[in-house]
Amino acid sequence: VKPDIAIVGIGETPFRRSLPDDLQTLMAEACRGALDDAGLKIDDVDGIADSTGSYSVLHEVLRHLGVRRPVQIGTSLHASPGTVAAPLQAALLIEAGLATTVLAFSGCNWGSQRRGNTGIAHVDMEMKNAFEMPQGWYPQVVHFAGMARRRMALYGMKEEQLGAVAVAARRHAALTGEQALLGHKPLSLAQYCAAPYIAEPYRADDCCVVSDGAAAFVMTSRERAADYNERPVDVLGVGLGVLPMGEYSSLRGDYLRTAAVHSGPAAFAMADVSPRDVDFAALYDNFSGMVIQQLEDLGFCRPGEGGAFVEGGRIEIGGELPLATAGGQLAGAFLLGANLVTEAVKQLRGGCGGRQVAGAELGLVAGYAGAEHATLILGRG
Amino acid sequence: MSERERIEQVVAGLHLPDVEWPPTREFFAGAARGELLIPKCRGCGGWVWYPQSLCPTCASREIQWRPVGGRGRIFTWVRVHRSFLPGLAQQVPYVTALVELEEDPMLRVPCMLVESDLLPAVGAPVEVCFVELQAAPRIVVPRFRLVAG
Repeated sequence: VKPDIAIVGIGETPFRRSLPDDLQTLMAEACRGALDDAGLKIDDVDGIADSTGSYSVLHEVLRHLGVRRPVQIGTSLHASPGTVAAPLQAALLIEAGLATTVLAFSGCNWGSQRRGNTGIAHVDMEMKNAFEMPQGWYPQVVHFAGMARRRMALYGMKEEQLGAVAVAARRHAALTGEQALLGHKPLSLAQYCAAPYIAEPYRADDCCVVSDGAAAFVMTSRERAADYNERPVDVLGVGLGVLPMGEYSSLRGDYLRTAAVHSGPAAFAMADVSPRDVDFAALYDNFSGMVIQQLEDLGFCRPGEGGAFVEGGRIEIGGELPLATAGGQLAGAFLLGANLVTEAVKQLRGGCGGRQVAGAELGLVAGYAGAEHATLILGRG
Repeated sequence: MSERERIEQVVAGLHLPDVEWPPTREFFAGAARGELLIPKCRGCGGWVWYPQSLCPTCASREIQWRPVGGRGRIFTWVRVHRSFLPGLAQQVPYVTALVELEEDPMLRVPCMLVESDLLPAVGAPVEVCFVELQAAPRIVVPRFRLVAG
């Protein structure tokens, strides 16, 4: 597959700690924004690249959007990998002649629904109930802290290197303004190191924000893209990866590596580029250490070298590989992926003010969920 | 019941396993007797961890819970300062770990350490012990402790 499609419109709700709207309303609002941005109407949409993983959420969004005409629905991975891989579903639908204009979206309302009580996620996974929760090996912050600890033991990663990831995200959030949840809360490395632990070695600043909001993007063929409002952003490569052992990270044979070891090479091959060509990236930053892990898994550096890679401002705007240019999920918003795509589109269109990556022509977006990973490579059209 | 109330009700009991749930009932029955049991396939001889009724290697359904020695090493560990499980809130800070059992390094068992004032190191040797979480109905779970060696 060589995708011949472009992203022609993006939409975002406000990203806040708490919003009054329910999830389907947020998602529908983001979709409306993406259509308006492209100059499209809802009746132009004949395809959905779905990553909700939920019959009820998907069809509530379509009802709220006022979708009346028949639509094709493509779905592959789940949560953020599903959203980041949505352009592959769109390309398949469009190139098969099943659809011309495909919408993708994701959103989250954990800010108002869960308010920090992340213990609810994954309670339906019964082996966690039996073997993990009674041992305090729960929730996600503990799982990911275990990976960070193992990385520290194997590779000598330092807490200051985790801190460099958090500090960069916070600096970029400040440049983003109110569309980043922690845009008003600057963070120095000294402040990071002085903060208390939640689950060693993780502190609050190592963890993604919990937020309300949604984001969406709309795709069509490059040929048609020329007709729409904004400068199109080309889909150059999409890669998907799956690892064994599902959501039980404790059992994974290669405990640290993510499925980015599969999705990355696939995306780079499809786009016919290499990590050296990438101008900026949005790696899946649910926890700071996962940024370091994906830098290695995607080939930006060798295994074990990710900790040193993030030091010295290399991942900050103005550095060699800016990451999380709108604060990512550590300081921007946690919406299961679509906000990482919309920010990459903004960077490639240009005009991001103080957070614009100079000369941005090639951007990479990553989605991760336990066993799954997706890598998306976008290019300035 | 609001979504928020539903979540709080679910989370309140998460630290207690359902010891009667058929797929893991024998594990907890073993723990109550002071035995650490791990399922093993009679068809191919491989461990089947976490338990499942179909062997992922040979598709046999002849899977039996077998006692193991209860010794292993710390694969990784976390000291938890803020518990998201209300039932463990009184115990913070606690240390929880993945222990790799000496029978097979792919047998990784999540386990709290009983002496959580000692910080372990990756690779440190440990041995199993058992803790009663509830008297009636009785719930016993394995824990591990650091040992010399």
